[in-house]
Amino acid sequence: MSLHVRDVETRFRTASGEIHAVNGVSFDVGDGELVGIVGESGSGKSVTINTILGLIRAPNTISRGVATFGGRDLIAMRSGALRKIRGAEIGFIAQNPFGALNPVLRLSRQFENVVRAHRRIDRKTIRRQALDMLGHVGIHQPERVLDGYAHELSGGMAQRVVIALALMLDPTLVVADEPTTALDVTVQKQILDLIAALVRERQRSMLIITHDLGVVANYCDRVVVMYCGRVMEDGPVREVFRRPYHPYALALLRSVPRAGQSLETLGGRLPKLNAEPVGCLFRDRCPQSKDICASVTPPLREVSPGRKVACHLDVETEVPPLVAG
Amino acid sequence: MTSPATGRDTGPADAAREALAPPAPHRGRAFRGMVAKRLAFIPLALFAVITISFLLVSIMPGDPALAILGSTASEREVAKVRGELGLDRSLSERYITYVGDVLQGDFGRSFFTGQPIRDEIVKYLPASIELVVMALAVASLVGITIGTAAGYFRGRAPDRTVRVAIAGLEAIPGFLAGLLLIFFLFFLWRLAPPPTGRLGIIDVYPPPVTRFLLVDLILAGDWNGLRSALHRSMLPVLTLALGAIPLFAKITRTTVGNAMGSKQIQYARACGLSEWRVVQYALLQARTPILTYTAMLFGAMVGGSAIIETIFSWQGLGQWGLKAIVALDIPAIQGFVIVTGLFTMLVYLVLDLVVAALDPRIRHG
Repeated sequence: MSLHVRDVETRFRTASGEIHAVNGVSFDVGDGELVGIVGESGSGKSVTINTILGLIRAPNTISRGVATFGGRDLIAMRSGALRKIRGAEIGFIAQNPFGALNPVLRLSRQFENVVRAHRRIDRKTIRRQALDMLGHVGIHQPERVLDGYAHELSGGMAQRVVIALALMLDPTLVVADEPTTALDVTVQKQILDLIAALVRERQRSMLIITHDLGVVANYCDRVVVMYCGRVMEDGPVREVFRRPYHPYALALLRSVPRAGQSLETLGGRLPKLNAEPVGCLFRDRCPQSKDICASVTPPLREVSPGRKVACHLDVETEVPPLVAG
Repeated sequence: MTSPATGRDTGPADAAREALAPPAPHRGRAFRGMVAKRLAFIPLALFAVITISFLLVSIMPGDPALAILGSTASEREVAKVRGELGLDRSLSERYITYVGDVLQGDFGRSFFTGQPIRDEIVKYLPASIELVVMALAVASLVGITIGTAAGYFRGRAPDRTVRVAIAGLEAIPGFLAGLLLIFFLFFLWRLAPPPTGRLGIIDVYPPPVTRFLLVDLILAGDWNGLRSALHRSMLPVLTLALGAIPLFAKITRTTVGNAMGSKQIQYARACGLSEWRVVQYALLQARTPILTYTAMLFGAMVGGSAIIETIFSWQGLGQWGLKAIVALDIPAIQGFVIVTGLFTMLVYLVLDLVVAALDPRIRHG
């Protein structure tokens, strides 16, 4: 099922003032589409997802905007109704399986708890389905894994269990928050291949949050580039990676290490988010910034079909191409 | 779920077979090793407690002979009593004799009552344990409940209410709480019996089988006696519990509150688990700290509730120990120190075993 996010805002009220973590984020995840949200730490990508899924429970939090999923607005929804969607219609793959799985409950119990939170199914059936699903995610001794605990597994296997849990109720959208950051490099590719294959095979939609441009390039159809709680650029992965329009997206792609070339880095630092953001938040680090960038917030506008950029520049002429010359 | 081949295609066999836990026969070895290590530690610690209790009392100011005879006694009388008590021998000689006696279960006789200390301990310790168990049961029930509510709603109205209640309870000293409860519940409203011991004058004490009064009453089938004893336990248990409730509430509030912000709970919510289940997961995380706290309180309160036991004439270990200290009854003080020390060690041992048994990461090595 498709997800349409419009103007989502999240602010945390703290003792030292308000933190504007997410400042009007809009994007879409179409049917059967794999969308990657990229951004550095603190860009608000996780907060955006947690806002949409109703996972932010801290007091003094203000959330605004619309997130339509299957015709229902998740942000306006009451917490009880949203709970029934989480896990059943939207599967969640956590970043660190050992932080997510319960260390003192047998995995069979955790499968039961997840399924029974949504369906009235007897234990035997759940067990059969869980064994089946564990087989699907490439676990060879599902019986032993199911009757054991999380700490008995390697990182890769634990993440496979989390994937199995996410897919147990056959959700129409899968959300993966940095699904491989906590894993060994050698296992990362296997896990991503597995997730992508399972989602494509079932023709489900998927949202991957990552700071790894390689993950986006290899697995996603579309990319949403976030910076300081705003969407900077949104478009098909191939096009954006060949010719980024937003100066930030350009800087991000140029900072990917390439063999035989010196590493390009971006000067400056992230602006503080404790005031109502005005203008373009990237302007201080942007080599092409103009006067208007400080006073007017650039809207996310469609530059060419399927490609959106939040920039005042005439991006096709004023922003240099990825590879100079 | 179309083709089961997906798993095989995407996850090479070797990768999925990486490092399962060691096979079943090896499980539990670490646990047994831990038990053995803890048990081996007990005699060592016990020896230290005996030594400390001996030295502590030997270097205490005041002459026990004078304490027994009074300040008007002549020098000859004092010397005679000192000889009878063995106080004229050297410290090392007395130490060796003492350790030997204690290891045989002989704690000596009270300077004042002449009773063997062991008999007195057997008489008073069960009463204290019963009091503390009841008080901790009440306090943990109330404290964990309000602590969980506060931790779950951290920073909101229920949390603020609980914090005010905790601060209020903490501000009232135990003896004052006891006296206030007696004043209102007994004296004014007659809701509780007088604080005159564990049974009324007309109640008959059951034959001492376990020496735990409540257990003995049940064994004797004396239901009226049991009702009377429980009724009379109300005020002391409540008084002691009031002191422990803030401690339970605080540790629970902190651990549950932290658990609520953990990745594990966030993931549980992301899976759509109900809030009841989420609280259950949070309490599972808080289980070990709460158990540790309970054991610490248990060890400290048995023998450490002297004032409350005295107020309610409970005839417990604390009351007995306090009397011994005031009277400078050296064998009794030494016995008190050793018993409370040993008791605390045993409680901690049980705690370690329970925590290890509850945690699969320790249980299965």
